[in-house]
Amino acid sequence: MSAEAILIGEILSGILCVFVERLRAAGVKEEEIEGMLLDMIVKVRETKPEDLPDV
Amino acid sequence: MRKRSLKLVALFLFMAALVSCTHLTPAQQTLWALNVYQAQYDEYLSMVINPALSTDEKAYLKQNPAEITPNKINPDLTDEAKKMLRVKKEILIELKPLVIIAAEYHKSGKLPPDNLQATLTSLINRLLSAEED
Repeated sequence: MSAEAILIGEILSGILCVFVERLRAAGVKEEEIEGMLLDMIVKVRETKPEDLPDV
Repeated sequence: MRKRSLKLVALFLFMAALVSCTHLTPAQQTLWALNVYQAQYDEYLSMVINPALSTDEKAYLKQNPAEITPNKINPDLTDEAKKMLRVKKEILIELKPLVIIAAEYHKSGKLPPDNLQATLTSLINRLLSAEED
């Protein structure tokens, strides 16, 4: 396995672990996640990726 | 060929991390996917909008990306950054309906099908590794 592949894998898993650690550190309970999910769905729905300017 | 193998290895490591490192519940996984999508969308806009514009104008353009005319685009973007942003935009367009479908499954108390989860994970992997290309 190349060093680059290991690095990319570590970056991705690191991002995921940081996210989970933040949830835990903030004391977020499973039932609260449902509310966070609903808020995020609204936010994501409002995004318009097709309108992002081409570069 | 080498790049493809590299991506497959990275995807494998990412999937292994999903299983072993974190013990994510399905709701946490979906929340994470929504967060990654939103963060990457915001980052695209932050990179593209000319940093010399006023804070108010930047905030307005972030809400109305269709109004970002060529003269409001960051003039300092390198060719490499532009290439990465083009890839990101394609993935964001593809990813948005999928993260919403996955979230709707959770809202209705059902688990998303495995193939949807796998496609989501693969797209997020491509999105995050676009910067590595």
